[in-house]
Amino acid sequence: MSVTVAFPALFAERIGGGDAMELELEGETVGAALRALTERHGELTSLVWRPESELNPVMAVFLNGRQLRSEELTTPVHDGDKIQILSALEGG
Amino acid sequence: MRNLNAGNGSSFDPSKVRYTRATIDLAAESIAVEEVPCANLEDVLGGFGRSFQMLMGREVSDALAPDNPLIINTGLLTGTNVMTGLRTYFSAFSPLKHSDSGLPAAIWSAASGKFGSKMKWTGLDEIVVEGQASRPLMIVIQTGDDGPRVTLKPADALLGLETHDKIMALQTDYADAHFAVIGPAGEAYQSCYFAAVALSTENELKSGDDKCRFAGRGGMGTVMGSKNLIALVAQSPDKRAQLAPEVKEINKKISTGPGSVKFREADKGGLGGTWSNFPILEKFHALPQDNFRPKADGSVERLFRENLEGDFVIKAESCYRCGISCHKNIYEKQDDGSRGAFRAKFDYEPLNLLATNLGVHESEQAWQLVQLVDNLGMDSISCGSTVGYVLDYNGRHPDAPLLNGATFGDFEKIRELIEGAGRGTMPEVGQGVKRLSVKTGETGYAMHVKGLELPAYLPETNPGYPWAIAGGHMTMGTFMALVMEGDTSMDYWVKAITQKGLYQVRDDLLGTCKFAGMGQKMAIGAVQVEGGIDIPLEDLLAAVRRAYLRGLAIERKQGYGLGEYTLPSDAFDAPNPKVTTPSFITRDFFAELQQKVWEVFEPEIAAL
Repeated sequence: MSVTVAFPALFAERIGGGDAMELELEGETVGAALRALTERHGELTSLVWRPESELNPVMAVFLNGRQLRSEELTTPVHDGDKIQILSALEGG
Repeated sequence: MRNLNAGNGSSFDPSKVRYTRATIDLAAESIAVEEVPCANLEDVLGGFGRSFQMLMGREVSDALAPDNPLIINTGLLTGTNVMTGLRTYFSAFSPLKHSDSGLPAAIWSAASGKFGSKMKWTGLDEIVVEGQASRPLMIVIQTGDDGPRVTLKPADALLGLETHDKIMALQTDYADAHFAVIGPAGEAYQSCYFAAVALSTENELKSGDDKCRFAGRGGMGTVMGSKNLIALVAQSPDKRAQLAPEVKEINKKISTGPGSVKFREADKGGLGGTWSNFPILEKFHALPQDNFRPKADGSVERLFRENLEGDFVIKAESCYRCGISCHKNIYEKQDDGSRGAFRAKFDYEPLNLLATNLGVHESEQAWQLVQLVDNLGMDSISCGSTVGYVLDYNGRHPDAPLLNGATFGDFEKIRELIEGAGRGTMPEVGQGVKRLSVKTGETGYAMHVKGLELPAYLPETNPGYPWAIAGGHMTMGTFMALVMEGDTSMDYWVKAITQKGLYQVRDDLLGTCKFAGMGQKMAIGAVQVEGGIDIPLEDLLAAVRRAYLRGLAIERKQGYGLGEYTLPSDAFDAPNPKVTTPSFITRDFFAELQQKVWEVFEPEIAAL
């Protein structure tokens, strides 16, 4: 399935972008699409995953605008779906 | 501000940009308004980029003396159509942050609200306040026929009022105006060094609720008080240019894009505000509790947002024309479930440092402490961290406690300490944790770096704190890095400080809010389109870097030795086993980090 994975400047700056970005990636599930993201851009691995292959607990993942729990990364995706990943931790 | 550059593709010349400055000598009660050519890009961008150049040239040994200038200015995008372009900056030598030699450090503090926009709409970009008034005064800035009109007025009638009450009193005299005031803490400047400046908001003026915004860090309200300057008034009709399509697109990205998701409500695709840091940090037992010593006992969960939804109406509200709505305002819930009286605004920092970090976990007590600090006009971070130290000390010395003997969770006595700090009756608290801990001789658990109290992130998770120049988290973007990535390598931390973290201060020149989450391309787009400044991104970033380095240079000039760029010693010597992030900041690690960071910064500082 071809999905859009969107991420903020925090991610984009690591791969040469200066602003929020979207990439078209392949995957059958949300987790697989995020794997495809970090396989293409290894610089993002430490942001997305913990060494034990779990989702970084600081990250928030949305599928078509709905926030997913970490155990929902196995949710199947469809062509044209939009996944968003960003840090849930911000100062203030 | 006038830009005389041709804008036809020729290179940008900062000296062709002029800003309007009012220099006010309070002792002589004289005012001079002049147009000033910019010396460099930092002057054009504004904020601390400009003010720190003036402070760099001053010799100030006492922050409360008349020769400490108080600079009030805006950023290039303040008062423009760029969403969150609302910032006002207060810069001076700080009564709170000081080197071991005793000299004060330069600092700036920023706030939103609408005062900065109104000030800019009068035609004024900067005010430099010199001297000390012999009577309580306020500065009134108005739109004149041929430029800003600046006058001084008596402010005796405002004395003694709390922050919100001062603002509401001024509103009755000045229509279509906004205000910057000190509270009782600023009036007690000789005893309270972390007094804030409160800025009015549209919501506050319309609702009558005490919803000020605060320039809190470093005691800029204390400096105002020392000058007998009680308030500023900026009165002007709103002046908004036509909204350019490019800016409309930028604003749409700010209000609906990924950069501000954290601060928006769930029904706007958001995560609910800074308050939502509570459960995330608690996953790592990295949420400050009992003076930055998490206990991992679950007690902090009582102040998670989800656990308060039933007791209060929580309403997301916003600054002027901002679509993010980051203010999570707590209202009493009536019997029928409807919204009752306003109670407080729950942000991560005040709620943590004035509640969980003091052992207070009851929401009814938490909002009272948060609002008390606001009404007295103090910095929540410095006040909370200093009170936390007192409670910690008293727990360690039950037979010879400090002050009223308060310990963690003792709400009434904690309230007394805060009142005492804000009303000037407890200078031991009001003069900050560095001075207090030096007096007690127990400095290891005094949570400050370079004399400025730490925000609500554990020192053992952030070796970048010492290179923050005006507040631990808002001026060095490394405070969440360990929790976010778990990387403990030397190379990572050197780069995090010298290549990424310092750019946290970009918005402190531009006049925008960090919560906008603008990436660099968005920021340069806003500067070009709405600021009218045709420069490439690399020039903007170079100016930000120079401004940051100037902050370090002033610190060194004010006597900071390299050994003062360190963490509270308990971060090295008494690691908390409850915290589950990697424990890696040994003294050896830190010594190497210091060396490598200065290897980068020192040649650049020398070349400024």
